[in-house]
Amino acid sequence: MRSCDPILLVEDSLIDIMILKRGLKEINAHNPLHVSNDGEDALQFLKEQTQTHPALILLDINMPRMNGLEFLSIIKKSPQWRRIPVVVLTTSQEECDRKASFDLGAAGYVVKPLSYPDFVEHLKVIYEYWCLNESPQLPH
Amino acid sequence: MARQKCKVLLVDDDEDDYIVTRDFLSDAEQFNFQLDWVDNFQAGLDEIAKDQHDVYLLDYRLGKENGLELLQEAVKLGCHKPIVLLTGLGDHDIDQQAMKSGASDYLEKGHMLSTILLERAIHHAIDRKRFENRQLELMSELATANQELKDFAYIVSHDLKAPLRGIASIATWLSQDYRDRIDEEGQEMLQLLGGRVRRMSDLIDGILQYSRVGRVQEEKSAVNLQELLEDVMDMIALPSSIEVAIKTELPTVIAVKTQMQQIFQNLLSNAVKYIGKPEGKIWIGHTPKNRYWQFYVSDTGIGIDAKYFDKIFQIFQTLSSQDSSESTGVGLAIVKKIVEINGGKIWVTSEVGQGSTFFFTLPKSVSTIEDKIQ
Repeated sequence: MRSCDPILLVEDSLIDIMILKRGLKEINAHNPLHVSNDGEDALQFLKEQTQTHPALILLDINMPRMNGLEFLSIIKKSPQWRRIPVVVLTTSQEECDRKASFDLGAAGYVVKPLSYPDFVEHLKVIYEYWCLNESPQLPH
Repeated sequence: MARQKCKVLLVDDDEDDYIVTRDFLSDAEQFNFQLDWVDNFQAGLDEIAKDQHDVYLLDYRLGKENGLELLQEAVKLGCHKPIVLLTGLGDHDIDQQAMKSGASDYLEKGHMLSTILLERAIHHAIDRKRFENRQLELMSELATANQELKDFAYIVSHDLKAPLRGIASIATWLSQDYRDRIDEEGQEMLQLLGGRVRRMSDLIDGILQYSRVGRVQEEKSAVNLQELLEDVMDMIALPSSIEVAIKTELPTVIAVKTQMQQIFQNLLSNAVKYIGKPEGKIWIGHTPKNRYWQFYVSDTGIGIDAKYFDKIFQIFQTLSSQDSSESTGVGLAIVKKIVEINGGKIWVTSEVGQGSTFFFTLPKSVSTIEDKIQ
């Protein structure tokens, strides 16, 4: 992933969106960020993106209308989207969510820490890791 | 004394048998039997479907069908009334099959049969079925309660922690972004707010951990407690001022390994936490007690006043104030729950200033260990 590649955040909570935006700024990640508030929105957004795909999707599990696991299972079945790495960012420490996420092909599962400084630390590691990754050639 | 009414249906293709049964039942002392009779498989099944009797007597021989088949069909229909199969002498295979298929009892026909035997069998069958039905009810209630607990835990895990993260983050941002406009007192309040949010989050984690014991089904295996204890001691940062001695070679038990880990980890880290003196000793060991192993974790720490012996095992009960204490008071509650779902008990003896000893028991279940090895 390069610093100009877009990132998609799927998250319904206003403050959690603020936390992530602020965190990205703090670690000097200036990638274009698109926010969808639930799985259905995110699918709609992906459908409209004919030119570019997000290089990384950060996904919350607990959302209205279509939750993160439902969204994950849909995009991992789609030939055009299934190579996009999805990192689940969630509050849930439930084992069933963790297992389901990896069963469905998540690239990572990170529990959001309570405090903001801790969150920034986590985000820095996630971001740097994906910057080291060679993005898969996504079919357009 | 009025005799209890009892409606009986006999399914038997032989009228003589019906007459014998009728005569037996009319002599009964405990029950006022009302006997109906049908002479074939289909009529029997139709009657059973109507569910108008208290007990069914099925003869094994029913022309080209038999009573065992009728029993199985009745069970398929969802019959929840007791069924007694009448069989010939020495038909032990059929007797056993009948019980496996859901009969409440079987009776051998022939010259041995009497009023007393028949009445006792019917009485027993009714009681047994009532007990079975009650058990099924309880099982289904239990399943519902378990499901509710799972749903509840899921909601707690997903929905209760998220707002806390919001509050914590905003408190942090206020303190950072408005540093020049918030005086020292205001900053202190924001610090307190952060601390309270952290505590709430710890309590939620605690209640989730506590509910996870027994909620999440885990495999039991042969657990060597000696090895496990040594691992736990490596995990806990034991200060050099505290001397830990394992007095006896701990046994192997059949249990969930992570649960055994939680027991020793909690008891040991508590002993370390409440040593309260520059130097201390901790002893761990066990003694056999009939079908149980009795374990102890003993320390030379600050001790616990006897009036708190029960309290310390309750969830979220600590003996220090919220602000001075790091602990949420969930550790001993978890230990107690684990010990009890494994069929053991836990208690404490202590003298303030001298130290405490925590005792707990676990079933030996040695036979199962040998089975596993074979």
